[in-house]
Amino acid sequence: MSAAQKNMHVPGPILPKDKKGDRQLFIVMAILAFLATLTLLAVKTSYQMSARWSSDLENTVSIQIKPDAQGNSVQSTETARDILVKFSGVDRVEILPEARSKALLEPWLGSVELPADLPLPILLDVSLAPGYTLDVEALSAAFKQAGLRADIDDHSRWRKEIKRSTRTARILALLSLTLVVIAVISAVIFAVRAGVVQHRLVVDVLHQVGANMNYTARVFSLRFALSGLKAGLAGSIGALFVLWLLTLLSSFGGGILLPLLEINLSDIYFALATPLAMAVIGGLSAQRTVRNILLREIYP
Amino acid sequence: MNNTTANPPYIEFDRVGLRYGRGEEVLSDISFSLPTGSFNVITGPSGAGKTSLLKLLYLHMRPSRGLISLFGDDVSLLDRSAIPSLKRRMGVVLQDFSLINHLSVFDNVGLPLRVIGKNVQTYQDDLISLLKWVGLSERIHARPSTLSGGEKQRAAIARAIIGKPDILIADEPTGNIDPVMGARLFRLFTELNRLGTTIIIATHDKDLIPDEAHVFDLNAGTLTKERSS
Repeated sequence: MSAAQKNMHVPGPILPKDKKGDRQLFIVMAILAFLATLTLLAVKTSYQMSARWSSDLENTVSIQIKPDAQGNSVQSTETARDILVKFSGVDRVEILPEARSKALLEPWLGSVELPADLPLPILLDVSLAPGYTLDVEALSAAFKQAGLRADIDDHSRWRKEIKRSTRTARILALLSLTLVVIAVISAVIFAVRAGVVQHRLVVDVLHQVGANMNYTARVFSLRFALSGLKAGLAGSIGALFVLWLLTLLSSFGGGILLPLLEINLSDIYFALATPLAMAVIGGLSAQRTVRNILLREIYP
Repeated sequence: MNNTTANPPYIEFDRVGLRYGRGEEVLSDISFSLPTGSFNVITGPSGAGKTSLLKLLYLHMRPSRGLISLFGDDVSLLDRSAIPSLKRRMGVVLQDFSLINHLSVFDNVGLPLRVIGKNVQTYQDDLISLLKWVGLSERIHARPSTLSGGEKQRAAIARAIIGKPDILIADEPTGNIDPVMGARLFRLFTELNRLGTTIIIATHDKDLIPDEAHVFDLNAGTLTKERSS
């Protein structure tokens, strides 16, 4: 055997490279991968932030002690603290200094000097032991029995708001992801149909030489899975790059206009899931489409 | 039916009819049987239905009526999944050769083995020997578009027989080549037949039909004559 013949060990691809068609599909799939990655990262970030906020709010209770009829709130505050420290689940009670109470009023009243005799409510910041929830009704009853006027805020309203917002964001994100997946499937089906028409001779010859349906479908599905993987990588790398730019921007702004963003390892893992998903979606869509075409047109 | 041989029938047609869509039948009441290892030639003028008959034989189409039996199996009862394995027992050479242009001669010819998962290492030597046998040893790397009509024809034949099929079906194999090459091709078919392959050829070139062939005359979709050449 000649040296030239010895070099024939690698058979050529059964489907030819279709540069123009491949490029168009690549662009569409890369854009969809870009959007999918950003959506995934947005969902992940919103989950993390929601969990953090909820956790912070779950472990603290804010109590506002109102001054008594004589405008005195110091004694009432001491009484409230004594009640609280004996209460089940309370870990720590901090009486916020008057300066902090005044600071909280600044957004409404400005930085003017307040009259000394203006009765200000005193705020108590109560930390709960992990896993405990405060029995607000029992605490209200105890305050009432002690003659205290107090507003107890266990942040349940805010937690509900956060949960509701997170749920809404999650639904929107899932909807976006679903639309992206549908778009990917549609693009692949369209491209596969065009590919089968373009390479009809290959399909016919494969059928003629005894290739089974799965083999022919696999020829196409591998091609489209590979396209999905490449486009997915390009799209997700693009999304990570954009996220990195946003991170830079947010750091310049000090988190005033944009929330402080960061890219961590889990973001990269999430971003890498996109090309894999694109490959699977591309391959499976192609497989199914080719099988349908073969059943309809080749196997009478 | 030609029962002059003791071999069991490989292929049987019983009152087979074929129509395209709602049109008239292009094949009517075709009945014959072909024994194992026979050399068969279907002749007839253009439009007689030779290609349609071959399409039924190599399972490209199903008949509108009648019964076709291949290797003892009623084709109408076959599950789709059984068709590829039956097709692998048949080598087919079409009029247009159906060579894939972006693949080399080597890859085109090796395709029947590739689709059943054989590694190129396992068939490379056999394939090169076969290409030598059909006179294409110098064209192994060539693309079909660079081959002459005769070379394409021989590449198509090599592809049809690389899997050692039981039956070789050829549609007008001499249609695109000169008479000398045509005669050479028929010698190739005769040699294959001598090695045990059942041959079925559709041709209008009666001069090339070997003496041992069973000849079927097809006219306007009807089998008019069946004889030993």
